[in-house]
Amino acid sequence: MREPADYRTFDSFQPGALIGETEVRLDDTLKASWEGIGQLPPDGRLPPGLLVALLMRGYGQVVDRRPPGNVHAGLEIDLLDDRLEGDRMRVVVRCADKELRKGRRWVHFAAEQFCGDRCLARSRLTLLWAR
Amino acid sequence: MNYAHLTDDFNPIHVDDDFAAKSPFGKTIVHGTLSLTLVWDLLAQFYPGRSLNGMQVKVRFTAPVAVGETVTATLKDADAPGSPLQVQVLREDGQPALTAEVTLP
Repeated sequence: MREPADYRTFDSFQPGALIGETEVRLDDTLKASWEGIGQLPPDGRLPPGLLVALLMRGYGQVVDRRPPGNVHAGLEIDLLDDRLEGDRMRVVVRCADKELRKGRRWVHFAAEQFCGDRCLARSRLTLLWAR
Repeated sequence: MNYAHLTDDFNPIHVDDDFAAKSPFGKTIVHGTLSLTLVWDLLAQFYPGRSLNGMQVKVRFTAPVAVGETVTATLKDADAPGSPLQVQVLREDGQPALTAEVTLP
């Protein structure tokens, strides 16, 4: 179990700052997991549900050390291009904004998913941050 | 468990019955973005063959869904041309688990 000091805290987020980026690989085990949920088209196009799942995987890798009790409150996503050539995408995550409202800590993340130079989707994730 | 593996999100609130029983939810709850897959399924059903590239979706996750609970997705047509479609995923008690505004390309 992590010590509380290890967690990313609300105070640590800087609006506008890049938090990091990661590579997500849609390997056979992830494909098999998805096929327990939905279909995988044979033409290499990504169903939006899988695109969002891989977004969340990348977000989790970049924004690690999340405190228990966070609540995922919202998601805005612009789907731009569903072609994944190969099996890898890059997920880039920034802190878009943060705000204290009625004693609650809201953090907004901006995320982009890329295949090479092509942007597959742009997202904004809203989290109620626990600490 | 497939979705936890897919997203690498093994938060115990989603996968650990004992942990979740002691949480405010009282039981394990599904990942919010898993409930969202119903929205994509519904759009595919109503707009078969249509590319979703260029689509914009705004989602609010409004209530947790217990693992094993049955949920239902509903789609309300746009009030006016060009305005977003309204989609909801409802829990068994009728409360929205999520609401989404969908702007088609």
